[in-house]
Amino acid sequence: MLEYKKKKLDKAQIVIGIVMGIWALLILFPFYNAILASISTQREFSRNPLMLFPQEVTFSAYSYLMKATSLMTGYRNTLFFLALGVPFSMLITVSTAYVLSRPSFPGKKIYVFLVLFTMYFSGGMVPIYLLMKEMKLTNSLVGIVLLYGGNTFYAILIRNFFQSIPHEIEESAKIDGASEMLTFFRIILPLSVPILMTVILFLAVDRWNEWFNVMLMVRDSNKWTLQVILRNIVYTTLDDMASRVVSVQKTYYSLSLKMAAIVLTMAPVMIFYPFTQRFFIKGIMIGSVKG
Amino acid sequence: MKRTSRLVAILMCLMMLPFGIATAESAPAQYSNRISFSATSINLPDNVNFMDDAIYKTFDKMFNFEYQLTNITWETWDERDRLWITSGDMPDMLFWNFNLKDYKSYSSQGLVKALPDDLETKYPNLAAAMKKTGVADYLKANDPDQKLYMIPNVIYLKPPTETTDLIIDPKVLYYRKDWAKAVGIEVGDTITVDQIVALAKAFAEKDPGGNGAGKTIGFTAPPAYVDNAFVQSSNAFYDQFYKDANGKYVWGGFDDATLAGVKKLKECFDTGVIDPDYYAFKGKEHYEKFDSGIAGMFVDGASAANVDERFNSFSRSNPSIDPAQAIGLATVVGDDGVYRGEQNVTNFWAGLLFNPDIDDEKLDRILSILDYVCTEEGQRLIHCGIEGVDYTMNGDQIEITRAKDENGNFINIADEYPSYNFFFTKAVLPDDWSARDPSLPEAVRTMAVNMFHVKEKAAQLVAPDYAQILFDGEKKLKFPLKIDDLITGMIFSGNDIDAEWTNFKTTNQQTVQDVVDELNAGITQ
Amino acid sequence: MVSAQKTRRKKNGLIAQLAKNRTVYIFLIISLVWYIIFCYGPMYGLLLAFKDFNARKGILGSEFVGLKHYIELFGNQDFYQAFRNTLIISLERILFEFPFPIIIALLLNELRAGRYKKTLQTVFTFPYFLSWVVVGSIVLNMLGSDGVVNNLIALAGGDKQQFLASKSFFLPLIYISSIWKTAGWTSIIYLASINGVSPELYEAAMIDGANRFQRMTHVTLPCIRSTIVILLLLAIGNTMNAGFDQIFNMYNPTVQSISDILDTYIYRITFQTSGDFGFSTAVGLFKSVINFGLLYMFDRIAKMMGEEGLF
Repeated sequence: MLEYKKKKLDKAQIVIGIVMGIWALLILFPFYNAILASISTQREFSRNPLMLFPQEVTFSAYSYLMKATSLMTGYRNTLFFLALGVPFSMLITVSTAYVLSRPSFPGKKIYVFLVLFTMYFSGGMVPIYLLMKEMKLTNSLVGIVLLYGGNTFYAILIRNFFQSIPHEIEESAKIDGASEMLTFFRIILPLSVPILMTVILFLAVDRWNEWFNVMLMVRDSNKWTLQVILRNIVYTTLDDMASRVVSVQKTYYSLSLKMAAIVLTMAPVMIFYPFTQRFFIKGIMIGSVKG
Repeated sequence: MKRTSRLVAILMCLMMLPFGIATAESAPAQYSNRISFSATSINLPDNVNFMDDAIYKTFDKMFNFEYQLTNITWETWDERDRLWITSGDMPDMLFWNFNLKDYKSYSSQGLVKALPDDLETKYPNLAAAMKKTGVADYLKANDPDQKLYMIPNVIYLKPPTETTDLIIDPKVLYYRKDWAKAVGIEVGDTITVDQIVALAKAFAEKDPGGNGAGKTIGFTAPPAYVDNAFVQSSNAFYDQFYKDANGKYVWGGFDDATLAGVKKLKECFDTGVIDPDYYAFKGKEHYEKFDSGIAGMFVDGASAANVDERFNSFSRSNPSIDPAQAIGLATVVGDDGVYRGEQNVTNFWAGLLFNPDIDDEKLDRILSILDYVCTEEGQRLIHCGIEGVDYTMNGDQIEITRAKDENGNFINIADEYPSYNFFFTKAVLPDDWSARDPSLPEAVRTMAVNMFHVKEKAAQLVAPDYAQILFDGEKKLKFPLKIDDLITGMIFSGNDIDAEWTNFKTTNQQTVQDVVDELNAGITQ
Repeated sequence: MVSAQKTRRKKNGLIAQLAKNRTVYIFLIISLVWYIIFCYGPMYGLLLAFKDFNARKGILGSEFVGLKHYIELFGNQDFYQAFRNTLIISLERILFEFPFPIIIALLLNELRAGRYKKTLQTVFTFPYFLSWVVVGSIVLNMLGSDGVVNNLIALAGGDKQQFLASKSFFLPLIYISSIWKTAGWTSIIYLASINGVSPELYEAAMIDGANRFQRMTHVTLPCIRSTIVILLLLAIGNTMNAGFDQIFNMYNPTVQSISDILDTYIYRITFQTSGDFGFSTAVGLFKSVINFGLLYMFDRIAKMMGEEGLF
């Protein structure tokens, strides 16, 4: 493996490193603040919102959330949703990407148009709901998995990557007698790992953040995903109803509870993401061209 | 060992028998058929069993039913309801945010069930509660088939004062009573705009809260409430269509009195006593500023429940201060001492809709349950719990005996009995009970009810104009102008108010005129 | 496997073409089945744009009202302001926000591989996970009259500003906060693309005496050009949307004239009066047509400039 980067840091790298570091701090501070809010008492936080560390640390917000909400069910449902949704979406999306990346074949122009059209035109909530109802897919996470299926935007990203793979590689495989299917699985996919991992990450995060369609379609609260459950806590009032709300609300969610809910939704993703970076490895092309 | 346990088991069965028999006997014969219904409710807690506690069980004993509850959250409430209703997928009973256009559309398309005609005779308590809302009768009378499709939830069934239902959710000024004392200003039950400014100035200058120079904000509130205090005190109808002296409908937004109010607001704002960021408030910022001791006053609703919540919120941030000593309420009146806050308010909020295919027996059962909910007994069961366990009766007086938390307040009854979360917003809203709720601190109830009395004396209250409120003309329903947004824009425009006002009138002349014409043509009384 | 080249006559015939591409067709069917059921299945809902929705009669049975919704949409003065703002904001977003993820990716790429770089990459993506409701309130907090920013300005001897009520500060604030929130996340795409650049190209450049900056502009940038073009096209195709979530949570009446976009305008007027499905579908259709039209137009321009387009 040829190492083309100098071992010593040069001036530019130091400057860039510092600039990026400052940007990172600008990002981190509000998060740090949110975490602090979730473990400090209301009294202390309202007095000193920009504190560096609370004097009284309390985990009551988290224990309350564990007890009072079906947090575990939420995590479980979200993981289920991810485990089903990401592979299914990848299936459709990668298939679409592959077809889009191939040179002209009968029907390609129509296919491309059909696919791109759906990125912009949609029938709307009502016919979708009616369709789901007809197919008995309402009130189920499986239904939403199916509904989400392919993502044209990501398919285009993957298509791009597929197209950037040098033709010589595919040609040489063909000469060696490999079928197109084999070429796809043994050569194209492995070479596309960076973009595939990226899209998997994106799809996973989309599923993780998903709450709107779950709210609309899924009625049983024991099927709710994490975001839905925690959004109930964080967004307890709709401002237009503010004046009416107090009398019809019996639970009070303090700032620390809201922050704890936010931390609980973000933390797993932020911990998981660094692991995926392993796949963004460089130099993956070298071996293929040479070989 | 085995024999003992078998003996115990037999003994336990024998003990259960009388209960079993009693259960079978106490449900009236007409309810011998156990029914099950599905319903939605707002903000139901997670992770609880709604059929496991004494409140539900008491209802169950009387009415023999099961229910499956679906939680509705504020964010998607309207959309979910709309989607479910229009696709024919609604639960048996739906807690619905009333909207005139949708009401007419659903009822005419048969998407929701019409209530039985004999409702008044069969369910008299429910009917009485619905009558108190005022809209039930109006909607029924104006329906092409003279039918009613929704049960409106009444806000005050037993109003604490004679005209509470003409006031409903009064906006009042909450102020730091302790600060006022410290700066030597005495505040009565009513306060004029000029007095607000004087008090706010004193707060900012003398800094009784110890915030440091220039840090104290005299008055803070989101735009709608700022207008409520500073503009509406000049013109009760500043945000409404109403009948003027000639019996013709006009828009209050264009009134000269409104301009006077806006000018007053600008004047006050320029003195620096109003929170300079108020234009960006989305709805809760004023609570935070007041609770953390930065701001000395804000405007908000003053139902007993709201006052209680504000007191609690303040306590949480200031555990060493007694809220009853620190917070005072005052009604904002115009310079002439007249209160102009509430006009055309309706004594209901949200309603209950029923699935069009619901069978009659189920509907009858649900209506019977709701009928009981509307009785004093029913309300007491819901809000106080079980007699002998959570409260005792001292003649007419209720004495709450349930547990208290570490701050000395009664624990939340919803924590004890989760089914409370369902029952407390059906047909009768909890505002009603909160005004006489013995578990709320005395100070809270007294202050809240006092505000009603003050407004009665200071206002010229009139019955709501249902014809206008429930007018379904196309132009009126689509009327886009939000006067609070427009006023806020004027205040911060940096321009002279008169110039802004002229611009505002000319730009929107046609829009307003269309609605006014529609109203005058459509309402002929 | 059956050779499709039995006779030269049939070599380029349709059957031959189909057989040659059979793998493609397998994938095509997998993908198309989903699109047809879940995207085209409900597509007839677009008809609602020309109807008054009656739930009992269903979408197909509802009354046809022609262009009634559009007459209503275009009849209102505020629509034109909202439309204009939408165009301006989308254009400015492309000018100011679009380059940032690219810059971040390029700069990150220059850092030495290691834990610091990985940490930075991760941290940059954090704000993406916050919703605009939360970020909006953070911004209000920081930029309020007594917020951090104003306090710093006061310390430095300047005048306190009301950033959120200022017609000149508001939009830049929108762009900056949007960059803060999403640039890190979007840069992932570019980083993935940069990873596909062969190291030999860098070596060759170094041999030719190129310095770091020149390597960035002459090797990295051109290699990810196709990614940039695609994302640019897709951004153009998003013009009519302009970022509702963010603007809704951050705008206020004082800056409405410059920040009201189509979606916030629609939200305001339909929220009170109910979800008139016909009207909201009409608006959606209008936006889609313009978005799609812009996309197609710029795609052709891109193709004319030698780029690989979308179509």
